[in-house]
Amino acid sequence: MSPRRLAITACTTASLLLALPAALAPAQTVGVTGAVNPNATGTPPGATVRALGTGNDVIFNERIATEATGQADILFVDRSALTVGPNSDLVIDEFVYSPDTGTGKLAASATKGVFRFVGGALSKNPDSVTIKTPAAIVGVRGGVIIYAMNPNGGGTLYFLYGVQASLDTPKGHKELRRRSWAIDVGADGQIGDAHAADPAALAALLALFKGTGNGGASPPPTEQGLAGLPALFIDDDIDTNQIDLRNYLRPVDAFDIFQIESLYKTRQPKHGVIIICTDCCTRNCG
Amino acid sequence: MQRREPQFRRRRRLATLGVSLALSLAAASLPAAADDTDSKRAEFLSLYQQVLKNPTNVELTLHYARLGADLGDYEASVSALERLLMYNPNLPTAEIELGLLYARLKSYAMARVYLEQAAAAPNASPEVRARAQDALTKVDRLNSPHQFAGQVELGVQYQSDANQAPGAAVPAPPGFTLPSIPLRKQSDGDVFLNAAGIYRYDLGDAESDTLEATGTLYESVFFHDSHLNLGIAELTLGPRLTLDRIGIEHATLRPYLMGTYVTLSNTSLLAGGGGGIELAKTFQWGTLARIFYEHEERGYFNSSFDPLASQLNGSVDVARLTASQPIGEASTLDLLLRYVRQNTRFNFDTNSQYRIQASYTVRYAGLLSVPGVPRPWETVLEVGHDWTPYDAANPAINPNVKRSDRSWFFGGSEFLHVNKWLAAGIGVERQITSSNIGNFSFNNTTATLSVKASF
Repeated sequence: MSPRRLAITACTTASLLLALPAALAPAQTVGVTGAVNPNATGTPPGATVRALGTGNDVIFNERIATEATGQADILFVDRSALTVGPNSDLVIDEFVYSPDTGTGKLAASATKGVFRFVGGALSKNPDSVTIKTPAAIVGVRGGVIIYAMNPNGGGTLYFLYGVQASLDTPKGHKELRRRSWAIDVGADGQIGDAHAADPAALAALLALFKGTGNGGASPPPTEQGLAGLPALFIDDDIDTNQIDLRNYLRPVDAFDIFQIESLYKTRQPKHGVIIICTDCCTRNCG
Repeated sequence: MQRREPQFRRRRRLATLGVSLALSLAAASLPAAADDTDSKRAEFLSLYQQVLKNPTNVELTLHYARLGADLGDYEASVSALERLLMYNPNLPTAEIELGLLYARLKSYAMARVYLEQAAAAPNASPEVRARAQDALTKVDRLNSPHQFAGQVELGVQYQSDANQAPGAAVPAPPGFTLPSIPLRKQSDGDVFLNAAGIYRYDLGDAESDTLEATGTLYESVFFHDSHLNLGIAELTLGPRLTLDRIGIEHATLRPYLMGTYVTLSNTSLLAGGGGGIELAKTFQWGTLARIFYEHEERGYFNSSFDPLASQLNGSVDVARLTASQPIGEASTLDLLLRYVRQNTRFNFDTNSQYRIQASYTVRYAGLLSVPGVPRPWETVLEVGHDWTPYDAANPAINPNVKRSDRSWFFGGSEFLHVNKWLAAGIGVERQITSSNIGNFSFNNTTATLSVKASF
């Protein structure tokens, strides 16, 4: 490269970097650990392995690893949460977030284990959250997923809520939109058919995310403490589904009844008006 | 060019005033609702910043979860409560809340897992166990492939002009051989039933497609004049297909078959059959918009009551747009635009009808509080306008004048919800119809007392 071309390239790059809005620049701190049960470690780029504790900053490009009893819950600044289960390994590859627009990108790579992702602002946008696994790239759009990797590299995607979750492999692309459904992917990238999630499998996965210790909370919350607090929903009302269904009723509108009545009643000799016209009388009948 | 009567202009001004009032009330509630949501949203975002600084603060986390649920941001509540289970895995109360959250998100298998774990938790109190079992029953009902919903309204009403006749007696014109009937408006009361139901069957595919049937039934029985008794029944049946599969989010398409049967004066009036297609989409800001097109062939039954009814045989085409916009937490603005084309055997019976209609519904707490119903009072204001021009003049009436009717209607009702399913209320509706053929003009006021059940 000639010195002149080198200078132009350098100037262009510098200009572009300066023009990049600060809010969209890759963040150094992407979030904090909301809960950690030992043993879980973090390895920031270029630094040594550290034991993760609750409330620690999580750094861009940091590698999170857990052992058999380890768990880590990462709270991102966009309100996403990524729970890393036991025996897992994951790196935050990319995190860009603009609080003003709610846009940006979150990308991670997981090589083993199990993780749960609960969407925040970023996942509301298409193609904004992707997690690379050995067999497939998992995409999340606005929701909650669990992905469990098999020792052979394959895995199962559980779609719990949201617009959709997707699997991309060299052998294909599939989207999952039905909640509490799942798709299996083989180590070779072959994607299976969507199926209802097995409740026993879901229960087993939830057990992996339940605390193996106090998660860093001292003192931890107690059942007695929670039981006395008001519920999230009045009367445990979960009938919104029923109310949604009512939106599709086809009731007779009161004014339609009047219309039908007016159209047909006026035809009846007893009540009707078909043969009489005051206007024509006024004008034509003298 | 038809001359408008001064009386019609007065009515139009009155009706315009009614429309303005209804729209003003709706508009006035918009900023208040927006302010309330904005302030909660700001508090919610501020709370999250505090959670980031102090994630193990349980009180803060619960406050954040509660506010998230209040704002409909259930993911925030889910992540907060799931974090609590990382601090302590033995929190059946948190598991119940998570089960209810996932149920609200229509993720029923996940909801069931949490609720079952709560019910089986060794440290769950009998109350917590009972609550978990109750929630499990609700979830199982919602998760059934068979879903029903409906509304039934039963009431009495008084109509000032039940036979929809002009106010004054109209003499028959000279030379007419047809019977000359004095047309006086006649008030009457009736008992009515207005019911609508929907049944959905989950086809069990990955796209959440369903088979949907709707039914509508209206029946009125008048106290004095049984000739006015009216019955309407309608059925539709067709699949509802989700359109996410082709990239249109939160949208469904429903082709359907439909049938209609109407009785008047306790005698069959018409039977119809046809089909339609509906496109429904929920937008990001909560608007549910539905576009319909329907075509129905209709046959009329001649009777001693109306020996020439079959001259109305033909078809009806309907194009309809409805939009329902939630405003804040407890009010909704509904709009309707509709075009109806009625084709009959004779041009003078063939007509088009254009309608615009708006209604505003608001729920609120009032003087009387009802346990379990935070906003027991419901006010509905509605207003609409029809224009119905006919294709040709009726030679039996006036060969030179094509009939054209205009109607304004407005009304209001007040309901008290005594529980989640039952409400009682009163309503008043006013219809003002003017026609360029005077005999078709009439005014009617309806007062209604009814009980409404929703399930």
